[in-house]
Amino acid sequence: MSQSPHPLPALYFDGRHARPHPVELWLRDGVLHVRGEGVALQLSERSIQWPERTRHGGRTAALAEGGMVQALDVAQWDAWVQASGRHESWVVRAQQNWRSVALFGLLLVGLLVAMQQWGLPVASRVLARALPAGVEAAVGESTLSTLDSQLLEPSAIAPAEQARLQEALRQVLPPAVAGESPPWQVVFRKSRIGPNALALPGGTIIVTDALVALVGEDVPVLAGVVAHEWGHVRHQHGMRMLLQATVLGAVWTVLFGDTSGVLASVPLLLGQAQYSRQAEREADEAAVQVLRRAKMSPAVMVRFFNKLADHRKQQDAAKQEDWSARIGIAFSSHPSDAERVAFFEAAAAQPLPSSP
Amino acid sequence: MTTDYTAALEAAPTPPIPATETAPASHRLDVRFTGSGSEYFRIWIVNVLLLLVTLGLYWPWAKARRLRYFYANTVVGGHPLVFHGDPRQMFKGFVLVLALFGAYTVATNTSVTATLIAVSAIGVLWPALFQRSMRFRLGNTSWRGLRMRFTGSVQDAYLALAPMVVVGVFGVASPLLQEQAADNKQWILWTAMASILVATVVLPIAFWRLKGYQHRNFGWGPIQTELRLRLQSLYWLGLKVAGIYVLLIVAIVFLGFGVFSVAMTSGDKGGAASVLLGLGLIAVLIVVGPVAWAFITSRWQNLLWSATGNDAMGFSSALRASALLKVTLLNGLFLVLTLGLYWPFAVVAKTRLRLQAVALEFTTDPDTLVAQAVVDGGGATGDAAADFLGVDVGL
Repeated sequence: MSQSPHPLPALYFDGRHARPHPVELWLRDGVLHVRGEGVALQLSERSIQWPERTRHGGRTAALAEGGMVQALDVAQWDAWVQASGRHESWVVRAQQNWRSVALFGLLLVGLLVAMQQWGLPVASRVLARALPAGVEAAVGESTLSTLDSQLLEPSAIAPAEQARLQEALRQVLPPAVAGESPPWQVVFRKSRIGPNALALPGGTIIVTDALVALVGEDVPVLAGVVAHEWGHVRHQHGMRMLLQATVLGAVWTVLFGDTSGVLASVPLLLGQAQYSRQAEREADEAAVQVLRRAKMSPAVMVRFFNKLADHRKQQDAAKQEDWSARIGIAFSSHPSDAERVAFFEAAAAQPLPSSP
Repeated sequence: MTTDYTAALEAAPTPPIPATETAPASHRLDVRFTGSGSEYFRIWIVNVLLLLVTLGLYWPWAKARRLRYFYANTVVGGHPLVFHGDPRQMFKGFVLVLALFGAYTVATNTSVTATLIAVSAIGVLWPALFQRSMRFRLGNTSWRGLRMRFTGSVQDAYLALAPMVVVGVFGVASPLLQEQAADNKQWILWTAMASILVATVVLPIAFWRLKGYQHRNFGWGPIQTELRLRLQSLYWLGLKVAGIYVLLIVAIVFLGFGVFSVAMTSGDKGGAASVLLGLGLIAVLIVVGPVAWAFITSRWQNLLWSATGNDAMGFSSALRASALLKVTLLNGLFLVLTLGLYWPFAVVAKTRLRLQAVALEFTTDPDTLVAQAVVDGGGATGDAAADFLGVDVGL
């Protein structure tokens, strides 16, 4: 039970007049006594909203009947509250103490790192799997129609040729099996973005005409590239990245609600680029598995990177070629080409599974 | 005889002029902000950690603690403000906002029609939420023992905020519809013209109506404020801001031209000069945004608050754009240098500058003022807060 060693001078507002009254406060047996000229109140200690201790700022305790008592001298108030035996919450104690703040700061950094490395990817994987297939398909359709209106045009490849390529791909990529393999479909488009392949949520894989031209007659290389994109579809990377980016953005807004613009985007970009590199590695691994199951050597991917390097040299884009290495891997969305080539070469060195 | 009288009159000492009753000195109350950046930093770190650990559910408690700290450090005429909000009531509003935000995010990722429907739905709900949150915020604020109140009704909210809702929905819908229209040249022309019309003519009206609704309905004790702001003042302010942008763009063009011509004519020798000019150009580019923002914010605050009040009391605001610009640039610099850890200090510095620029003047001694008889039938003022929905939508 709280007991005051001595009365505390304070100001009392009755909630109906703006004029303060000087009073004295006593705490006895869980009851707060407020005594002054024309004021005599007894209130249960528990019914009062006690203010928290801070270095700066006033102290005002709100009384249930509508009035409030305000400290004349903040230090005196705090000393009196403590001497009367009132306890303060651990949050207040933590905030007013630099050592615990440093500890909290470390915990915070640790928690953020853990969240970014582990918590967020795991959560997004679980969430992406839990989402109904219709949602993913809708997102993919919407993305495709946006791309079609901005970056893509109908393919210039002859329909017969497209059908031939589609058949070749069907020989390599696993068919859709509920619960095991995702549904997928390959569409060809003409685009100014050059040789490229994209995997959208819902299973649509876009292959540009320029990529088909780059590959030429070497259809196994095309199968390898599409197998990599199929890996993205299998692991739901598109949806997961979307979810992760949304959560990262929300956390950043909570932390730094006021700051905006470039300052906020930099760590966001760094975080997303790292998730993206991890996704590319997973897709490369899935591509290796698909190729081996189709009795093809992962070395086709090495051929692909060589063709790509030749293509870039031809385009005189040698300046931009390794800018990701120069700018540091931190900002790149893919692991470096050298790293990926090494991965596929190592995979090709392993013996193919013996025929059944 | 006359001369004797005149002489006597001239010889007599002039009688003292009776002291006329000088007009009672009006009571000027200043606003001081006593908060400290280092203290708010400590509060902020603990808040953020608890937020992350609870996956965001701690938000209403974090917000209540932040508001309590900022209110308790806002000292008006020697008495601090007090925040009475109960985080448990704020939690309801928090869940509501989360649900709306979640629905909106899903809609934006689904289709254009869904996005438009979601935006319209939010536009329809917003005035009611705004009124509720103003009632909650003001009803849970007190000064000198008297609670404040917000007297605006929901109907008035819809009437006053309608232009703003239109602007908001238009702002979101027009880029989306432009995508749909693709190459339809006429449509693009119409939407471009409509955008210009909205930005220059409708937006000031929307702001004026919104602020009028807010500032006409602040109440404390027997006092209810009005907003004596003319719409022309907003257009004039907009014009001045446009003027600043034009000046800065001219400066950029000149500097750019200077860099270009030096680079062209001097070749190698002009290297240093063109680098300097280039740096100057970059400096101007970095500074354009903050300069315009500091000007707009300070003028708007001064305009708005100096026009708020009534016959019994009035606010005045004397925020200088140069002071605000200096704080903004320093804040930005330190934020970058400390990778964002400076943020609590930045907020405190900005808040102090903006609050301490404001002062109140009462024609009568505030000590003598008495609470308004509560008309919403909530009983004692303390109970009134419980009547509110407790929707605090974070405005």
